[in-house]
Amino acid sequence: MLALLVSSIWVGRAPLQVLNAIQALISDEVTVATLVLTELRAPRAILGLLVGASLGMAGAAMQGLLRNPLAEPGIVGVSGCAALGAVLTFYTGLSAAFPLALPLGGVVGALLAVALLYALAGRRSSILTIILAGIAINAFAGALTSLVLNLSASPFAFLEIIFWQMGSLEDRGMHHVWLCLPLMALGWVMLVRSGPGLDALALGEDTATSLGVSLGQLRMLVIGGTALAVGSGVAVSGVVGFVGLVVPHLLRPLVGHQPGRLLFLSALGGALLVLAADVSLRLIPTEVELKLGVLTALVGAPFFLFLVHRLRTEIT
Amino acid sequence: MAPAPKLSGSKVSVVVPGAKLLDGVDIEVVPGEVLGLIGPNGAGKSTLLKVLAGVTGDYLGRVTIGGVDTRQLNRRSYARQVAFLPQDADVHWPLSVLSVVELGRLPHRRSLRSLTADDVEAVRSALRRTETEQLQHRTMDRLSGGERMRALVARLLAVQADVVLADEPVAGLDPYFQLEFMDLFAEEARQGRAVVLVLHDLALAARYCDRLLLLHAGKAVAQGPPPVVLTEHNLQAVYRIEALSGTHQTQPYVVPWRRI
Repeated sequence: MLALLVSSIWVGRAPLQVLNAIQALISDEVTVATLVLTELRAPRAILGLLVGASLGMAGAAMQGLLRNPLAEPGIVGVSGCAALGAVLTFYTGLSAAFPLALPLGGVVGALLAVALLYALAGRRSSILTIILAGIAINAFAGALTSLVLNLSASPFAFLEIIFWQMGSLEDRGMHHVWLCLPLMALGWVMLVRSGPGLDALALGEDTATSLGVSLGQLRMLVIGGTALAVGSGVAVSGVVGFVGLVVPHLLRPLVGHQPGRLLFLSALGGALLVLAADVSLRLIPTEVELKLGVLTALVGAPFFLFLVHRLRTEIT
Repeated sequence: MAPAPKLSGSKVSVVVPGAKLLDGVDIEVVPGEVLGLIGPNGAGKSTLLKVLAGVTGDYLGRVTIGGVDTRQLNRRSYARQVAFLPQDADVHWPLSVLSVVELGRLPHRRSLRSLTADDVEAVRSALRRTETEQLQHRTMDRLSGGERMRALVARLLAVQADVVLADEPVAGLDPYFQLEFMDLFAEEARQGRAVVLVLHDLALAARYCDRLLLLHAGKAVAQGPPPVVLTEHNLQAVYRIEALSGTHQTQPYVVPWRRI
């Protein structure tokens, strides 16, 4: 992890004399190198860790709650609505007038998704209702996002929205870190607290209830925690898909398939995966730097198909 | 152990759209005895057990434990007093037998703390009594139906609750383990616990239960010691069968013989 963090800071489009930069930083000099380090490289690495940890942990929690290895944070509509919220700030020009409106829009969108999910699925509904409600919310958010794109007059705004939807950690500053960190940390605390309940849920809802788990509270912890962690992450990084699907699935055997213990490990794995993916983006020699969300989707989508195929043959 | 608090339900009714699953059933679960819930399919046995387990709150009437209305009780303290094994219990991830049995200690644990010496001892004893020690590192998906049932019963015993509720805990076990598990539940009762079992096997119900509650279409039609409940008349009226019955080594037996 440390090695990845170092290489994330080291590797970049422009060569950077990291040691010189640190030296200058210590001696309070302002050089181009220190600026690149503190304003570009460090926030990028930190955001990679934060977003990756959120996606990994939320993915593990959602899979535990839905008891379905195909579940992803996106499935409850959080990512879609966060994207919509951010796109709306573009469209209305709010983000141009007030830069922080973009991430705030993402967080509000994620929270709306959770509120809507709760209104649709209620406190004592079945898992199936939650999945269906999530699909509906996702489809609606996607449609509204397309509508905004469709109506957007300026080609510049159009392009910006498209790029942002691909998901990237490029050109993010420390203010992005500070904006998402508090909400994200609150989300993590909620997710970690859901651990014992998720373990019990492996034995079914009735048994979990008889073991003292309040299903309503458990759902609130997982859905709320996911909304906070992923919503604030999507707001700053754009849509980075499939991390929450791939990471828990690969790490599950290491903790004996226990959903509670998987939470910590998936957070770590997600952080490492996103950081590694982001470093490799900068190493791939392409004309234009690839977007993070494009890379994770390129790797993640075939993996998703593979999982569907394997589960299908297991069932039949 | 100290005498367990008494669990009782009065005028318990469960109504779903178009059907009355339970219709004003009175039930009393006394510490130190095994109570068998019997009746044909759809009589309301599992529904009644779920109400007692506090798993469903959608019922009319009153359920109390030690005189306290269970609706007033906090979920965790209820979970420490009443353990429940539902019918067709399934495990959703390939967890090891040991980690499943350890989940039985969940009501006793503070969240995110590791197992205490008491927890470890309870788990070990549950594994020993269900003869699942050799299975403890196997995963649930690699077990036979009977082995899986034994692991789930071990989880139930690991709770060490005052009241033990199990829905068809011996279904799918071979005769040896059926008898062993009925002995196990009888032993739980002798230790001062109250045990309630949903049973389809009338022979086991007659031989092992101190008292039976016969349900028919959501109503309690008979209650009392096995010979009082398993009469020729009740078997004909409720189960629509004739049975051989008698006494062997001072214990009553009932063998379903033919439909009527």
